[in-house]
Amino acid sequence: MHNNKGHIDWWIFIPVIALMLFGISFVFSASAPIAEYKFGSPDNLFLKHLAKVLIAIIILFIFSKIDYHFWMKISKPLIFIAVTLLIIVLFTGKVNEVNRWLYLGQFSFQPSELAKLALILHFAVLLSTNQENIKSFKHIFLPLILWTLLICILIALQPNFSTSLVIFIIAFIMMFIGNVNFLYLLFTLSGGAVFTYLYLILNADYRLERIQAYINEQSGTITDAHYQLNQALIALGNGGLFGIGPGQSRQSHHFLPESYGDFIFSIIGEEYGFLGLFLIIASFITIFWRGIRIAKNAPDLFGYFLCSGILITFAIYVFVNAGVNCGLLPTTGLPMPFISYGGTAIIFYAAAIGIVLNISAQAGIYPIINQKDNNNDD
Amino acid sequence: MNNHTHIVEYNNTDKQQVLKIKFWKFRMIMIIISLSLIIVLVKLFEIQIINHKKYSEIAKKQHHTKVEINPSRGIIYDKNGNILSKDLLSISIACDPSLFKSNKPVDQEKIYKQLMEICNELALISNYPSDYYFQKIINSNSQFIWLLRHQQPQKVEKLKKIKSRGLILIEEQRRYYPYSELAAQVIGCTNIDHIGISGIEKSMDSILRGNSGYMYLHRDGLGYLHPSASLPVQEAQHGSNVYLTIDINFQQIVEFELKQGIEKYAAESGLVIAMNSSTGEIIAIASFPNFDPNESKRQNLTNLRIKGISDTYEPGSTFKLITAAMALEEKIISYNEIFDAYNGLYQTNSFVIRDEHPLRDADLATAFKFSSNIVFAQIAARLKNQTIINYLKKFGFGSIIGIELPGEAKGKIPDADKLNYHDKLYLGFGYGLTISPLQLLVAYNSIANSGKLIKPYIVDKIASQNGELIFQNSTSIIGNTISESTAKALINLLVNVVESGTGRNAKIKGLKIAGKTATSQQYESGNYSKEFYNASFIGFFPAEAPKITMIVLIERPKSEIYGGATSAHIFKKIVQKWMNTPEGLKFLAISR
Repeated sequence: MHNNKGHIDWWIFIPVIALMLFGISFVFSASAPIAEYKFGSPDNLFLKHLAKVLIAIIILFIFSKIDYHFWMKISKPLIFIAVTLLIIVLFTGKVNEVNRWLYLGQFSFQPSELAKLALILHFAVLLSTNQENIKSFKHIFLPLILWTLLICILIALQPNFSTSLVIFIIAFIMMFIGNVNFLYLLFTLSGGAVFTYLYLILNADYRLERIQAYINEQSGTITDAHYQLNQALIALGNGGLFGIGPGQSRQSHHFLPESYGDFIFSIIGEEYGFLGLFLIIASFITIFWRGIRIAKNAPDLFGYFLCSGILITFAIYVFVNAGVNCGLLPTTGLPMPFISYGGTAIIFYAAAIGIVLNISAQAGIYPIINQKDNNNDD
Repeated sequence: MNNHTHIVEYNNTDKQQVLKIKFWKFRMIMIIISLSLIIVLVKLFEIQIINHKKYSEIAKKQHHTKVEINPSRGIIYDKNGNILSKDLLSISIACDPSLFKSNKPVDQEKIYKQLMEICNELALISNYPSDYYFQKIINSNSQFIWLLRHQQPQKVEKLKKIKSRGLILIEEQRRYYPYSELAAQVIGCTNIDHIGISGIEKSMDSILRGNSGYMYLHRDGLGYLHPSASLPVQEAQHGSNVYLTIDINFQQIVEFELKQGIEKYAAESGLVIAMNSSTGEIIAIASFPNFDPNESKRQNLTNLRIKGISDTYEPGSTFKLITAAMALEEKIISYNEIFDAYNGLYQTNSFVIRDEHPLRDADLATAFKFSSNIVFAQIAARLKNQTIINYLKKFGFGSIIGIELPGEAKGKIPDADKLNYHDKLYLGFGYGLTISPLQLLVAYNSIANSGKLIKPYIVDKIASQNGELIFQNSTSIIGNTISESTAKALINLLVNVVESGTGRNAKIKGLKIAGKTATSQQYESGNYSKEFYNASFIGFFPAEAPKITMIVLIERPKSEIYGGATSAHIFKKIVQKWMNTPEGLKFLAISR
């Protein structure tokens, strides 16, 4: 019965769908020149994205109908599958010198996306069922940190450091919210910091370059990353208050690399101006604040942790992506949720929002009057 | 039922659990992230609104490229509509050397291969080896260098097929002169950037050139340009066409005969100017040596000079007409007065004046016919300084006439208060002042026109490329030199010269030519040369109703030095040939 307690939260549903639908047109405008150049047809990337958005919306509906308690039962097998795929992907052929994608015929997807969702689900399960001995090292901290490290290291080996770091941060915040022992958290944090530092020194020159570019922003040293940020700023700055108009972007014409992916935020800023970006950020903040309400009113602890984990993930992605685009953060390859062209990622985002919506329906804050009456009759 | 109750209770306990949990932690995290997003908004405000101008300037710079639209240069026509100079499409080859450099060795190899292909093709078109171009491109740090300018379109067909981002082919206009050397100095030429540097091309440059327009193109990150309707465009204003008074057929005769004469008399150089006596239109100007303006190699600058208007010289005997004009007009002499010609040698303590044709006594006509220096020295000596200078100015000496050609020379006439007796003697037969051939031509033409000084001109009209008339030149009388009766008397003197005097070589049966010869010594490092002469003949015909006034001057002839023998002969040959052309026959038929 409890999955029929109320309707979903429209204040989350509508902004998410709106972002995805507007995202389709953003992607078209931002990808047309590159699609034309690479594939000979300006709508090549747009059509691929459109297909994925349609699938994503269907997935969103399906997941909002599945009682979220279902995920409790399959969180463990899911995380095992995710880890297995993360291992498999390391042994497949490299694309652009990294092992990030798995191919199933025409379809490609990033196992790290599945791993992220699986980790949040599994954390929600572990945290919600063990609140009595939450301070325990052996029963709580150890399994949590081991899953985290396993997944983060596997993703870092692809190499995909930014995703790895973000997953680590999500895991850490979930542990913090879940009341894990403060000392262990401190330990985790310092461990993560050392790991990050070592990784930066030992691996991937381009990453160091990006960090240096961020530091040298004022010094005028021209690097690829510096160029990227510079072009993003030109796009944003040129947009002004109202933007130069839909489809009018010039920066997408081979000036801004990743113009339809990680840097689509800048292209939107160019075409729709500060007002456009303000509306996008306002939409996200609306989603987050409704999300807080849902988490607080979640029927049980699992719902609470699941909802908060998902929301935190989105919040971090939005902040990091926007921060990178406007030069507040060093350049990293994280997409803007619901908007960026990003293959299968959007389907996982939709799934996650579907889960949140299901929780919202059970949170008892949006009772369906007829059903409430029925309950009273019982 | 039981089951149901259980679920409700279960839910209730869970709810309580949720409420018990430290909710502030989650809320805190979300607040932090939301605040961070507010910071993002503040940063965006700074970038998009405060610094909007700065970034849109940068964006404009990288998104838009201003491309100049070159106007087409006007055509130069002769009097009869023959094209003397026009634009011709050519292809210029340039490149962006930065696009032939790559950081990746694999790519670099590919690029080099393509570059070699380009350089080999360039070597085939030009005279330079392919390695010359290879080094030029590889060693350049700029983003644009010219490789070859103004090639015929068919020559670069192969180069067009090489698909290279660094290779730039630009359509440019090149100036083409259908008559090659003919009237080359007058028509002039343009430099590699299509700007006139000599002749009419220079003096009429602003009219021929028009105003260039521009258009903005979108530039993408790869450097490709895309046209856009939304960007500003300024159409080019095409240059106007210039019609000259030159008759290219007559010019051809003139140049042929001048060249023949120069070769025959082993002269170094020479010039001819012919003008329509009554209108002032210049029909032909020739200078030799000349050049071919279609040759792209650098021209010898002295060959670009229009000698007839830019060079000055001491006129010698041809000036005697002016002396006679002054004296007759001032009534200082009479037409029948007899002068002592000292048997060809007039000597005092300080100077000697000789005549080539010694005479004992001579009236004005005889003295003029045999070009007596001694007589004209005496006549000049009778004139007042100020009178001489006034007449010189009246005839147009010592100042610019204002023809539409670059480099017109003023010449130098003496000061009235510095002119002594000795100077006046020499001035009488054409020494002690410098003039340009054009000035002398205009002065003689005033005699042909009963004393009316007619301004010479070479631009007949200017019309837009659509045929719209912009300017029509016409005859203008800029002064009066002498009275009609004096002019008549002078014409008689001139006719005698050709009939039976020093100018006999110019005599043509059936055509009365009025003319005068001169053989003037060139002034070299303080002395009059005994070796270098200017031999000239100037005159007009038919003497009864002059149609053409013409000067022929050759410099430093060797085999024969006298103007009467050399230039008069060239003059005659030109007139004879011209008389047989349809234009000449028509011209003379009307006059008879």
